[in-house]
Amino acid sequence: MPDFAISATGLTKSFGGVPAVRGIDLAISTGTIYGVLGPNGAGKTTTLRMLLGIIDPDRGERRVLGHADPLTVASLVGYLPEERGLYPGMSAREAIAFMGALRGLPLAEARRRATALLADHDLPADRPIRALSKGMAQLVQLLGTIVHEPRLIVLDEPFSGLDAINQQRLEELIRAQAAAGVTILFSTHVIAHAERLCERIAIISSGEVRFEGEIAAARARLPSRVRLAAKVVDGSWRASLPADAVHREGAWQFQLPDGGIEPLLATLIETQAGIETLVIEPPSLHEAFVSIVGDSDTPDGRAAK
Amino acid sequence: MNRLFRSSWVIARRDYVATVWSKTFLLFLLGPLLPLVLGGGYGAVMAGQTRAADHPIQIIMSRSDTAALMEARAVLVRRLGENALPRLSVRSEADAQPALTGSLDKPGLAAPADLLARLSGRVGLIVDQARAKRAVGSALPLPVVIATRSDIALGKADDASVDLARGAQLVLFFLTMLLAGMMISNLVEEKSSKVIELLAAAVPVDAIFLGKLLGMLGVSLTGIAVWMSVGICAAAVLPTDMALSAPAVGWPIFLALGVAYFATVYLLTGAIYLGVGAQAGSVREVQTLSMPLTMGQLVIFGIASASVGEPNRPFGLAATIIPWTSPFAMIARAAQFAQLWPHLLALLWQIVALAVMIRIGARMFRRNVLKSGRSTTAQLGYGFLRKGGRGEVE
Repeated sequence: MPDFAISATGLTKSFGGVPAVRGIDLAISTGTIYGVLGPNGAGKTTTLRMLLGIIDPDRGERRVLGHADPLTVASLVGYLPEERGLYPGMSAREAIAFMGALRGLPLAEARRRATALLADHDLPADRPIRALSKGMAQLVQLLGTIVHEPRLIVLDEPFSGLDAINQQRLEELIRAQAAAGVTILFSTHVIAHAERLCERIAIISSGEVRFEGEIAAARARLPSRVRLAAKVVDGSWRASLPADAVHREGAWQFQLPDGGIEPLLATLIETQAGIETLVIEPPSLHEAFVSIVGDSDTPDGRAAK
Repeated sequence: MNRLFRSSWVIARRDYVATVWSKTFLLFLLGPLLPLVLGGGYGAVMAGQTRAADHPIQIIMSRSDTAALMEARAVLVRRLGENALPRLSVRSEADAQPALTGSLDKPGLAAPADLLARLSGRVGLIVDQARAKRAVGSALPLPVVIATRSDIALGKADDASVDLARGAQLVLFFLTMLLAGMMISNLVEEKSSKVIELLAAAVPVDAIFLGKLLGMLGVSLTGIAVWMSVGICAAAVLPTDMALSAPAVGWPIFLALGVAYFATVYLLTGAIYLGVGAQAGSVREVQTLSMPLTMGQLVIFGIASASVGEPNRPFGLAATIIPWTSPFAMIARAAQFAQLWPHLLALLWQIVALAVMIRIGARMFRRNVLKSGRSTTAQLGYGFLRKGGRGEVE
C-alpha cells in the first residue's frame, strides 16, 4: 500500500484561457481524512475532477493509489460528485447496485450489498429515486459511493443540501469509513465540518494552495484572542490594554500580546480591577481560513467552479 | 480491453432495461404497426380494384364479331403476354359490366368510370386487330423486339436479384433511419441528471459511448424481433402471393448478413448521432441537429442505392469502402453475388471504422463537455456554430 493515497504535483488547468487551478501540490496520506477547503470558485471541484481522472490537467502529475491513471484504480475509489446524479426511474437498490457494478462488482453481489446497506439505513429498497426526498436520495448516492468497499473515497461538498440530522449521519459514516482504514478526501466551504473531521487540510483560493497541513498549524498562524471583563470598568488598568482592544458584548477583546498575558494580569491585580472574565481563545479554523484566503476570491477564481 | 467491454456491458444493460421495461417502449413497438395497418387497408382497397379490373369483359355482339375479337386477342397475347390484355368472355349474364357491345364497326364499352380509362385503350387494340384482320385478311404486323442478353462475369445480376438487393437496402435504410435517431438524445438524460459525472469518474468515456450504442442496438433488435414475429404471423394467417427470388448467398446467410450489416450500420450511424448529440447543450439543440443528420443518412442511402449491380466499378467500390455506405452496398452484394469473403472483409472494416468513430466521439465529449484537453479543429467549428459565429470557444 503506498504511503500516499493521493499525490499531485503542479496540477494546472485552464478553461478557455481562464486559469482554474494553478500548480496545485497535494500529498494525502493513506488512511486519513483530508479536507480541501476554499471559497466558491476556488478550484476545489476542478482539482478533485483532475485527481479522479474525469478531466486531464493541462500540466502536472497525479498519482491515485500509486497509479498515474486514476481510472485504472476506479474499482478502489468511491466518488460523490457535488452535483448529485441518479437515474430518477431506478429503484434505490438498483441505483446502488448500478454504481457498484460500474466500479467492478458483479451485479448480483452489488444487489446483495445494496439491499443490506439500505436496510442498515432504514431506506426503502424498491422505491424509485424520483419518489425519495432529497436527503434520502443523497444518502442513496452516498451508499452507492461505498457499496464496492473502496480504499479511497472522494466527496465533493458532501454536506451541501443536507439537514442537520443527515449531516450528523454523514459525519458518522465518514468517521466509520476512516476507522476501517479508508482514505477520505472531501471538499467543503463549510469550515465546521472540516474542523470536526479532518486531520489535515488544504486551503485553496483562486486555484492555488494557500495552506497545507494540520488544522492546528492553520490555527497557529493567528494569535489567540483574549476576552476580558472587570468589575471596575474605568480603572487605571485600561491604560495597559493593547492598542487593538475593542469593547464588544460586555468585554474587552484583543489579540494575545507578544509578551503574553502576564504583564496585563499583574496590572489588573495591582489595581484591583476585579477580574470577572479572562479567557484566552485560540483562533478558530474559520478565522484562520478567512485570514489565509483574505480577499483572494477573485473573479478568476470564481470561474473555476 | 476487458475492462472496456465489462464497463460497456454495465451501461448497455442499464440502458436496455430502462428502455425496454418502460411503458413508452410499448408505443415504440406499436409505432411501425400503424403504417402497416394503413398499408394493409390501402392494399385491400387496391386489391379490390385489381380484382374488378381482372373481371372478364363480356362481349355482347354477333357470333362472328365475338369470334373475331377472341382470335384477335389470342394473336396479341402471343406477343404481349397474357397479363397485358383484358380477358374476354361471351355474355353470360344480363347487365354484366364491363361489357363490349354493338359491333366491330361501332363498338361500345360499358364499364364503371374508374375502369373505363384503364380498359378502353387495350380493348381498342383488340378491336383494331380484329377489324384489320377482317379488312386485309391477316393480322397486323407487330413490332419486333430484339432481345440481347449480357452475362455479368462475377455472377448473376438479373432483375429479381436487383429487386431483392434494392429491397434489402431499403429495409436496412428504413430500420436505421427509424432507430438510429434515438441515439442523438441518448446522453441528454445523463447530462441533465448529472449521472454523467459518476460515469466519467468510474469508467472510460469510450466505454460510456460503446455501452450506450450497444444498449440501444439491443433495444432496436428487440423491436425488430417483435415486428418480424408479428410480420411472420400475419403472413401465415393472411393470404399472400408475394414471392421473393432467393439471394445469391442463400437465405440463411443472407439473413445473418442482414442482421450483421444492420448492427454495423446502426452502430456507425448511431456513433455519429451520439457523438453530435452529446455536444448539444439542450433539447432544442438536439432537435435542430436531427434534420441535417437525417439528410446525411439520405445521401448515404442514395450513394449505396446507386451502386447496386456494379460493385466492381469505381462508384460501387467507393460505396463498399465508405464505412456508412458499406453495409448497404454489401447487403445488396449478398443478394446478387455468392462470394462470402468480401463480407468478412467488409464487416472487419466496418468494425474498425466503428472503433475509430467511438474514439473520436469520446474524445470530443471529453474535450467539449467534460472540458478536458485542448479543442480540436472540429470542436472549434462546433463551438463557433454554438456561439452564433462570434468565434468564441468555451
